[in-house]
Amino acid sequence: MTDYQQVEILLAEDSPADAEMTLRALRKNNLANRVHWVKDGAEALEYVFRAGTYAERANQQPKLILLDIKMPKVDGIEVLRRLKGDPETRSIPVVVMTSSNEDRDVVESYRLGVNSYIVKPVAFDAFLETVAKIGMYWVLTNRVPQ
Amino acid sequence: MQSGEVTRAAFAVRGGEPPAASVAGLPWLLSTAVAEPGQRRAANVVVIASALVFIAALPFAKQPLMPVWAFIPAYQSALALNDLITAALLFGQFAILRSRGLLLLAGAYVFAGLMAVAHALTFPGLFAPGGLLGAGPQSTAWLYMFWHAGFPLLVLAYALDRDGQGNARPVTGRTRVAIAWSIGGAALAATLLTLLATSGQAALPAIMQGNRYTDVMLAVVSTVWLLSMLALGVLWRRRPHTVLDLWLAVVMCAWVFDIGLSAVFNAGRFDLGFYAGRIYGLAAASFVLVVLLLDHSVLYARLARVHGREASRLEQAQRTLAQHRERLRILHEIDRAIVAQHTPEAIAAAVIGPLRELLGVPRAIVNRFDLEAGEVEWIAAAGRRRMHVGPGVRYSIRLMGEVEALRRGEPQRIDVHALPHGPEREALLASDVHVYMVMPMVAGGELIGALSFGASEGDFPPEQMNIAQEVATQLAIALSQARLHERVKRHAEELERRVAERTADLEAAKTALEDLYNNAPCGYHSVDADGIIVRMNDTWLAWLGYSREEVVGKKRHADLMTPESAERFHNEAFPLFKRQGWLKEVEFEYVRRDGSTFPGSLQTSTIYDRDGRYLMSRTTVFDISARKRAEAAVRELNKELESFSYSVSHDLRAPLRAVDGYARMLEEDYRGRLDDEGRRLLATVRGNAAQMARLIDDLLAFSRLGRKPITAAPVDMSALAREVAAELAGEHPRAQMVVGELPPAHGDRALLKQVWANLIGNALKYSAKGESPRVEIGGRAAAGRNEYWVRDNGVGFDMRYAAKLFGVFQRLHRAEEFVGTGVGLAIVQRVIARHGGEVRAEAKSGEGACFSFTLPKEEGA
Repeated sequence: MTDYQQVEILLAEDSPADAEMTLRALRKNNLANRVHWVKDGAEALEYVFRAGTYAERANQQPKLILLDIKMPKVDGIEVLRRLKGDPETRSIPVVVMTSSNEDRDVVESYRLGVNSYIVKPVAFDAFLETVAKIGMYWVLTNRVPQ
Repeated sequence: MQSGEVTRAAFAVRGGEPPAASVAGLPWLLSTAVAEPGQRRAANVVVIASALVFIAALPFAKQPLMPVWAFIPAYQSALALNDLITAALLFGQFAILRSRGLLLLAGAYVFAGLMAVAHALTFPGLFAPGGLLGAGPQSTAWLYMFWHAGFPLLVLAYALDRDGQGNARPVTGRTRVAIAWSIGGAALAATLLTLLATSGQAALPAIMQGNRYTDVMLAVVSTVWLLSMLALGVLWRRRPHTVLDLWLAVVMCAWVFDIGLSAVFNAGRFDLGFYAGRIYGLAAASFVLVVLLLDHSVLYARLARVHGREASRLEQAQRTLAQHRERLRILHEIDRAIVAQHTPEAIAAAVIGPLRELLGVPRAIVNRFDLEAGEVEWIAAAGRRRMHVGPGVRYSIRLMGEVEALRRGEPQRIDVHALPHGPEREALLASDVHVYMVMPMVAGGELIGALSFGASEGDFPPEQMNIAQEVATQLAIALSQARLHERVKRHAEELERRVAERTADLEAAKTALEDLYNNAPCGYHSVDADGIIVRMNDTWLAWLGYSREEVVGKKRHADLMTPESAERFHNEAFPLFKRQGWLKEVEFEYVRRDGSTFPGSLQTSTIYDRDGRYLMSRTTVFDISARKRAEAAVRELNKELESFSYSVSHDLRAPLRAVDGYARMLEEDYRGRLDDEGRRLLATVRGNAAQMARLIDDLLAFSRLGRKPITAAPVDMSALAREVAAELAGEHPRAQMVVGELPPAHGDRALLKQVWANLIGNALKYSAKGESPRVEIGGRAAAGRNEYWVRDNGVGFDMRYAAKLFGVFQRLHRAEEFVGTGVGLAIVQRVIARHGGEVRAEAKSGEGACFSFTLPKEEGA
């Protein structure tokens, strides 16, 4: 695990393959060192709200949460609802990255206050480029209230 | 027409208004009849005889005779009586003729009669020594003078009382009054003159000296005598002479002889002249009376003759009248039969008996002609003893004479002996018929039959022929009427039968219709203007569980709904129905009699009466429980399908991404260690993964189309097509694209954009390999729909496979030639179908293709 203090991107993704490809894309842009990967929604929530295994984590929120929707235990939509429903976590930029192209997910995510919604391209090159752009923008360019 | 004149004259007496023209028109009255030669002769004989006696008596006039005192009253009484009777008769004639002359003359006779009485009463020595009435010695003589002067003066007045034409002047006013004036005048004159002669005799000169005349007497008597002669002369000049004039002239002659003998040529009283003159006076008074009496008896005889003649004429008239009455009765009988609409047989039967009697013939027959068969048929026949009624006896029409002549209406007289030998001829002769008459019956120019009647011999009198003709004419009308009536009756029966048939047909149709209405697979009902249900079919009643009596005329439509539905019906549906007159597929929840509910879909329209006013509604209700259940099931299925496609969308893509990603990573990380073959194999893996990804995307898009509701709005198709063309132009820089003016559409913009994208994309794809790819986008408005098309000059396709084009995953080209999944046109087909349009494709291999689609002009219109 990387140092908590350095985490700038929280990646919630149940698929190891997708996670590896995401990390590879971020690594190519030198963003991978500050990524923390959780494998389902429950863990993601524990991380953000410093519960369970993350109870002792330092009180510093990531600059970006990359959130898959279809995950075991607690799905991405539920995580999004909890994050945007809490004033403490509302300002954390959340980008949904999902294989789903369903309108209802897009609509629901925006209703809940998602900051961006990305359909993962199947083609790897396109996938790499998309992830790189997201990382660069939200981590390096975007500014959030401290 | 003497009797007529009598009647009128008699009327004139009663009414007191004499028609002046008729006065001269009564030539048989004494006072108006012109004297005939015979009467003139008789008068002449009397005058001549009187003259001879006068001449014979003249020399002895002064011969004194015995004074017979009784002579005076005897002759004076006769004289007075004669005069008064004559006056009465003359008044009678005056009453008829009203001539003033007659009134004067009658007055003259009254005057003469009264003077005769006065003369007798004052005669000295007769009833008293000096005479009665205070008479003196001169009184009687003067009275004689006044008497014998007054009468001629009045006769003179009578003779002169004529108008220019010699006609008597009429008297106006009432007859009795006139007669009373006349009598009164005469009496007054007589009284005054008597008074003058008696009380006033002193003022008069003496004309008598004892029984002898004085000298004055000569002058007086000459004057009186001259007056008589003057009257005679005037009477004589008066023309023409009536019988009365003639005899008045004779009277005046006698008067002249009277005066001559008794006052001129004699010497005094009681001599021969005195007596003879008095006899003349009596004769004079009698002439007119006798003639009047004779005249009266002649008139009476004439009246008796006339009366006799009239009586026989009356008897004749009564006989004719009776005959006419009988004729009229028969004609009336026929008329009644016509009016009663009897059959021809009944009419003929009613008439034939009386007709035979009226004609006075032994046999009469009513025959009906059957011209086609050339036969005649008896309808009714009557003989002296027997009568035959009804058809049955038929014989040849030749027995009726010449048919053409009959047709012209000419009666035929048939001599039985001239007929050809045969049973008919023998039968006729056997019944003593030797000749018979055939009277045609023609009505409306058609020869219907004939009336025939026989006689033993001789001719048929015109009277008989007239009756026969009259009856034949009437019978013809009657029979033709009866025939017409029968025809009308048959026609009416036929009509009735047809009406009955039609009614039965209508009944059947109505029953069938009612059956359809009642057993239709939907509820039917109608509500009147007040919203009350006026009819409802069996299906609907069965669904609701009500009997017809519980609903019709009692309930309103909303009474059958749940409270929520009823409220919606009152607030929304019913106002809308009232506004537009119809409703379509409005859903309500209905309540059965047992309280359970079910959903129904309502359709209603309006039945208007002839004047365009609302009559009732025409409402159908479908039980949509099954549909509602199906809809729920579909919703459930859709939900499942959605979660399925969601999984597909997510779970199928993730491994693909991994395949591609790891192949890529392998390529990157092991670049130096992979040879060309290794890289080719990796590229194939990645290519197939990409194809798989496209398939999944298209398939998901296609499946989404079926579920997504269409949100229809006006769409500017020109702009939309241009937008799509511009987006695609980047991938195909070589292609030339032309977008024409497209009619606007009404539909889901996003879906229509997909259609354009697929069609234009296809066109670009299949024309890209050509030398100068060209895509033409066009459209036009047609009746009720708009048509759009995309035409290219690409490779086209074989029309034999055109039907396959729009199926999912159906492709006409291999993947190596043109990439694609075979879903694009299926999407186009589905979108257009959901919009209510149609898709078509035309092409020729190697010569390009044209895909077109239509859209309805306005949704729901």
